Amino acid sequence: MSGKLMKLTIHVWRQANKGAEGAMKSYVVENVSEHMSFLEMMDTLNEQIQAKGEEPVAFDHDCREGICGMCSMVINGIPHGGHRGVTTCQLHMRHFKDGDEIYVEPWRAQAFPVLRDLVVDRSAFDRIIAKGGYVSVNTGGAPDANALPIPKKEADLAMDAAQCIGCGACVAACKNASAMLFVAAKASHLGHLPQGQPEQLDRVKNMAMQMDAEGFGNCSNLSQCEAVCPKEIPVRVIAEFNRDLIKAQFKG
Amino acid sequence: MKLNSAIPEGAIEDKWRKHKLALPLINPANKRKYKIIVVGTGLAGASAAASLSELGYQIDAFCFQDSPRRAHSIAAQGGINAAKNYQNDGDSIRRLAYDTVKGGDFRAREANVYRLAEVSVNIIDQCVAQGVPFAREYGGHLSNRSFGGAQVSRTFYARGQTGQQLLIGAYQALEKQVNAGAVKMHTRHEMMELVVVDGHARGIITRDMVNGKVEAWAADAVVLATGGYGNVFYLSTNAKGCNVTANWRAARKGAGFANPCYTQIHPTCIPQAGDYQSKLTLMSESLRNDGRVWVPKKAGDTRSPDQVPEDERDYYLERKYPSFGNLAPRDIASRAAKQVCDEGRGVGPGGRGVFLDFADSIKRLGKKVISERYGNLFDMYTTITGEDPYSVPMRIYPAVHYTMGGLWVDYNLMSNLPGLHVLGEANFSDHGANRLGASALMQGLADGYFVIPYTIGAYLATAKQPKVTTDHPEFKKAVADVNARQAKFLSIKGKRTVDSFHRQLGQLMWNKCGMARNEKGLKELLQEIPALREEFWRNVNVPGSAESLNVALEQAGRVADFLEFGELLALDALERNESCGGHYREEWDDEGEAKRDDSKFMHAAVWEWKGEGQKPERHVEPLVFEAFKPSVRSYK
Amino acid sequence: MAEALELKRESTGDTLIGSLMKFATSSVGSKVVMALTGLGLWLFVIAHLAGNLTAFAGKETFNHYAEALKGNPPLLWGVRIALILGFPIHILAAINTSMRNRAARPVAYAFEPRTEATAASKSMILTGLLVLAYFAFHLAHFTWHITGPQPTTLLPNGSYDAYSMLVMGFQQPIISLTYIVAQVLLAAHLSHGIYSLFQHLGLWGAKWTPFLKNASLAIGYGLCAAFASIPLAVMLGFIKP
Repeated sequence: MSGKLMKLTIHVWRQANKGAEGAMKSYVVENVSEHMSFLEMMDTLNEQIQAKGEEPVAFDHDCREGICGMCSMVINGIPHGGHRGVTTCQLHMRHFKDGDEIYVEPWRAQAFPVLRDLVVDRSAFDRIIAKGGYVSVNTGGAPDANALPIPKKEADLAMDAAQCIGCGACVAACKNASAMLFVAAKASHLGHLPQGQPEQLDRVKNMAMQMDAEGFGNCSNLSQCEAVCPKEIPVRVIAEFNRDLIKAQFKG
Repeated sequence: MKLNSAIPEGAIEDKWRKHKLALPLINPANKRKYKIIVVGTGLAGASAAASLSELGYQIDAFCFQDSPRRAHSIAAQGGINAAKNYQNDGDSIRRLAYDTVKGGDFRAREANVYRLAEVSVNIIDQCVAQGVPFAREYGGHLSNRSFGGAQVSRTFYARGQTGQQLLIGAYQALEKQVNAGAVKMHTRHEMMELVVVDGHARGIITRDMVNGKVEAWAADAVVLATGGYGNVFYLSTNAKGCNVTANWRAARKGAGFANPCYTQIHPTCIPQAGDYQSKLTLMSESLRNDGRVWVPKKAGDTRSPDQVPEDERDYYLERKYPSFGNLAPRDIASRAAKQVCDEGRGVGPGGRGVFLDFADSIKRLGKKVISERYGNLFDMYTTITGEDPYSVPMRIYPAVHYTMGGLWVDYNLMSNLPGLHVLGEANFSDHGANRLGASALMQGLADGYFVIPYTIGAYLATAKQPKVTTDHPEFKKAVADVNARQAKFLSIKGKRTVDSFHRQLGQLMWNKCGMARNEKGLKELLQEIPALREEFWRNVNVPGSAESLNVALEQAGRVADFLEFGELLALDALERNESCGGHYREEWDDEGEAKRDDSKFMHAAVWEWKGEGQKPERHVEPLVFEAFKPSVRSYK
Repeated sequence: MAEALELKRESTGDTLIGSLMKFATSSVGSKVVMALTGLGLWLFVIAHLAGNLTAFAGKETFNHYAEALKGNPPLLWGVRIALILGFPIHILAAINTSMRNRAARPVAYAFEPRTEATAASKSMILTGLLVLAYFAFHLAHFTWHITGPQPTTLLPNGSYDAYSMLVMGFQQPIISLTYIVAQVLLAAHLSHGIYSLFQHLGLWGAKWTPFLKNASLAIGYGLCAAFASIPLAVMLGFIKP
């Protein structure tokens, strides 16, 4: 039993490689069950495409349970398809109906070049983290974990921000392709913990500088990032980041 | 094949301490002359790469994902065990070690397990120092919970995302070292081959998954932290990308593969919804604390659950295991679910599912309490199935979750191939035939942060191998082999997709070598897998070219290796003529429980590759229990 | 080993001025500059409104206010210099950010995204430019006396009759309408701008921010209504010549 079956028209971005020109291409995909995840629908599409001798649509995916941050599709204009707190892999086809036309596009940003079809290069995020998204502590010699009590409230605020899966939906949704939610989430995670405090001002300065160097846009406070974030990270973290960065100009 | 476990002498409490003292050291100025390759950036790989580079070694780290942060360690939900005894409830290193050995049904090497428990306390300290936001009490101290039926509260957690937070901690440590220029990170690079020179592991061959470039990398030692092989079953809770290729390529080059038949099935997963299913989603085991498991008494009963009166329901776990009830251990609960479904009493599409019913708990505690405890899990269930577990019982079914088997390693985490070190789920050493909840994260980080930084130095200091470059003929040959294999895939141009072969293999494995195994089924399987493999090499269709991002080509390599490895798994299951932990042979049953045969099988089985078309050779490493006396697991 | 531990840190410039300039042109810094100048301009708008509303008190009070302003050169020029600096810097920062933004997304989505963001927040550049055009028109009208009807006689004390100029101008429907439309645009700009400037300056509070979001809407459109009340009152005859 596979539930209601649908026939859909999928308009998907096809691009052979990083340098190539791309274009939207339309496919009809049949026998889509309402219980399928969006990625399983894409698998089905790929099986049907390959049966016709064409190469499958390349897309990033891995855990398929909403935590690895690999899947990345803009579905009808919205990263991850627009259901609150849900990644593409957790989006199910019961939210669509027979005959629907669906537009599937890659994350669009200068800093996220398309490598093929729906696959983009998000290594800019790694480079930003490398500039300061950590506590500079080496392995060994750490004090007892309970030596430094951390108020539950602060630990919870840190955890709220630490949940970021680095998928890049915030960048994809932002009209300016800004990475502020991602960058600020990391700064907020570490900034709310005493272990992260000593380096906080240097951290925000260096991460902000790398963010600009990668070519992300500015934050205009539209909160489009918050609306699509699969982990529902609040724009509060951006305000915190701004505050720390201003502070860093005078104290750094 | 020589298997020297290199377990240090002395009482179990002293082994690691004394061993560390006895290990030769390398002068800090000399460490930077050594290059180490680390494959995989999950908990074990990332923590190893970061820690080794902090010591001064040059590290080249590789992962097939687009970022090291995406490794599948990230999906672990429950928590990480550590013998901190913060709760004053009688926990200790010895108790954690014993629980782990017993949980593994006395098929693990006790010296390794004891060391694991010993360093578990350092892991928590290290992670807190890195800024891992573990759950805390109002007083600001760390919170613990009891997990997976443990008698003490020793599990540390970060909401339902402990694996994610630990991995991000290790990833950040890794990026810190990337920034310092001490680690060269290579993302979207898949390891295609291990290179062995003069009997020592000296490098790897990778494929750049974006442009298809096949490259050789030489080093003084190779560390594999490449995870488990659960995806040989196609459907599992593993990420889609998880594969056995790195380990299998090493095995084909002479590394012993130990206990491949030890696979763990997790009882609480969302059942398969259709043939198109691409993976199975785990629901935290904690649900069994308040949910009652049942199926209709009558076979073929298709009434909706609210139409089945109380006296026509079979709460089979409560009936069979009155003292543990719904909290019976993973393997037992899993087998019981399979049994009732085999009797035709399964529920939901395809009849492979059992109810996990919260109606009684909601009646007793109120919807609010249940929602506080399990709200996020209920939401996840609703997102996936479209059903509301507050009003309709959940449907669950077991799924492959973790693999205890892996490449054989000695006490120093080095395989029988000198220079090849294997960490985390990829090795075989610590969990025996069954892994306890919240122990996988512990092992990955123990190996990476606190074991390999000590032991690899001993190898490097004593191996005295000449430097090699990628100009060495062995590298040239390995590159040529990889290119030839890819060209072969692309030239077949058959009728079937790679995925269809993988699905078929998975079905065969699951049906005959899944939760329950028997001699007849395994023997059939050992006929069916080679037949399928033969068809694969004749009839697979891999479109596109090798010089570009080619999803089908990536999958083809992995599935081809699964088609070889699956046969080894089945062979190991056949030869291990006993039941133990996750390996359940129907012939060895004690009223639903695994019946060990300690007289014949108190050993690790280590398989040596003998070449294509040849039967691999089975070696054994006897397991000696000095500190912990083997007993019978009983949960009646 | 020591080398490995020495992390590569970027320097942010050596001198305070150097580093501040670098910051001011960065993505976050240019927004801080916009927020600070925006804050100044907003305060100016409030003060300006307070003066305008004296029109309801009659010709004498209004003209008295106008004269007092002119008779206090430090205040007048203080405000003028602040505006002369504030406006261009606000605009330069806006140009800087929008250029960066445009470059950040070179390829647009084929499917026009549907978002929850308000129209006002998405059209800050447009409303800003229109308000700028209006500002030029307003200066031409009230300061340089180029556009709009002007009173032909001076007041008995010899000073300019600003009140009559105001009434004469707003008696013309086209001029009134221009002013009212401009106020709506300014309101839209402020409704997002006020919330946004607090966010850019890092002033966030769990209770304060949600309140501020609504408040900036109320303040923006409240100011609009108060400003627009003057031309409306002239047209409806509440403010008489």
